[in-house]
Amino acid sequence: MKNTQNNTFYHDLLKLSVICLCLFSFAVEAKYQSPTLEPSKGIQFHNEFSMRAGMTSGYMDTRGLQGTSDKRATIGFTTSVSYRFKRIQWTISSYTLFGGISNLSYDTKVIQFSKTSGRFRNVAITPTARYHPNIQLGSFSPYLGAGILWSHRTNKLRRAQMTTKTDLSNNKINYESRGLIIQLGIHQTNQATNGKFPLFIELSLIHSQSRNVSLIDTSNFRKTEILSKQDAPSEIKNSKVLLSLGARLF
Amino acid sequence: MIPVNKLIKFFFILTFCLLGPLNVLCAEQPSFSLLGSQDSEISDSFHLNYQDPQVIYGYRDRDDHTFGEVLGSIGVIYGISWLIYPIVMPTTFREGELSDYRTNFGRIVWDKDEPFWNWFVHPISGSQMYLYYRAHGHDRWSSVGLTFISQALWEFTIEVYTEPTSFQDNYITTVWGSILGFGLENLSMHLLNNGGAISRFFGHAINPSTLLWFYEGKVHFIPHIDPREGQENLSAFLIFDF
Repeated sequence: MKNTQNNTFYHDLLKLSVICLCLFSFAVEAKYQSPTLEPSKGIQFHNEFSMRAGMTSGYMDTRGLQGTSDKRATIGFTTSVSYRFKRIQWTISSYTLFGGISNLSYDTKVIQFSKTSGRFRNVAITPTARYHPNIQLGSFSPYLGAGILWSHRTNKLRRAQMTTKTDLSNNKINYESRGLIIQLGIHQTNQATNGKFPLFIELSLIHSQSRNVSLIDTSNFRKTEILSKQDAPSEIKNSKVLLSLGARLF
Repeated sequence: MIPVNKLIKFFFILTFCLLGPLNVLCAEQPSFSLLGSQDSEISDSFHLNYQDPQVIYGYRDRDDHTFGEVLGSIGVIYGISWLIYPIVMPTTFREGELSDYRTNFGRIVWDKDEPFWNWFVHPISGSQMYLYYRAHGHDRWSSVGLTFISQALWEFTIEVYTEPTSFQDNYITTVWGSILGFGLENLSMHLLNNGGAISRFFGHAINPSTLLWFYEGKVHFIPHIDPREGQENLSAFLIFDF
């Protein structure tokens, strides 16, 4: 019961965040699009699309069932496609992360896994709104972003204690999660690089909670089969601090 | 009895293997008929003094595409997608049913496919779509947008025959595909413009759209020195292949 209440509160918080972000961005845009204001010197490009890619690495804390937890480093890639107005930039980003698993417990409702070890892959897609204040730090300018996040984590186990014996090499456990992301970054201005591959450095704080869990049969390489799919609200909680480094490609 | 899908695969491989070397050979000998002149003096000077002709590969970013032209480009990719699906995944396609199409239509899920499909096949197909639109003279962002449209048509109207639309595939094919396409575009241009036959072969291999008739960026560059007394001019001819 407590879990369900937490979950409802969490979803309401997510919805509220999205509404606040939208209202905030519209308000800021309305203010800065006003013809009575003088153009800002800190703005380097407006009304422009941008495609970015880079590497990301960081630290993550995953909490599984029965009080189990796994703290470890992770590494991966980040990409983003965005459209910038004057101050606000709408972005869709992705984070693809890889790493190991140890000692987490999972419950797929068909089989319970404990004392696990293996590898995970995590794909997160996040629409965010970024605010670019009128600040210059040499050839860089900072930005602050926030958004919601959908995440898909695949756990490929090598060893585990199971309630029903199964072939781990032909199975994987998937968790779908939702969460929030806050980004703080600096990016090189177009003028500094003459428009060629401006760099960015970004710190991201991510928190997500699981929504459902699936047990997947991967024995057929061409088409995987879902053996079970169940709701798993807040069974797996994940917090990450990621540092991304990359460049705007075009 | 040879299966049809094997024949089609063989045809694709044969075409791909033949087109590369053929194009490399043909590229060495651009037609000079366009330079034909009735003036024998000028004509002689061409024959005596033109420098080695070069074929330069690049991209022309046009902004005058008609609606019909864009629709045609999208339609070709859409048709190829319908053709390729049963060839690449015959077993999966045979398992599909019209009732599945109705059930899956409009549903968006996280797919559970293996990384080979999500992280290898989708970005590569996205990159080739991006390069196809680039070859048609679209700028980078138009190519990204058209790649997204083609990808969405594939996900929402073709693949739903066997499975629901994948949330992450829409992003991966478009964004990762375009990023990979951007890299392949630069690498292929470097290989095509700076190197010998092998370099050009690989340049075409990673960017096959440069071999096709609609590719708009191929330019014959013919430097010419006029040796006539008092008229020592350096000029060049640029002949676009359309």
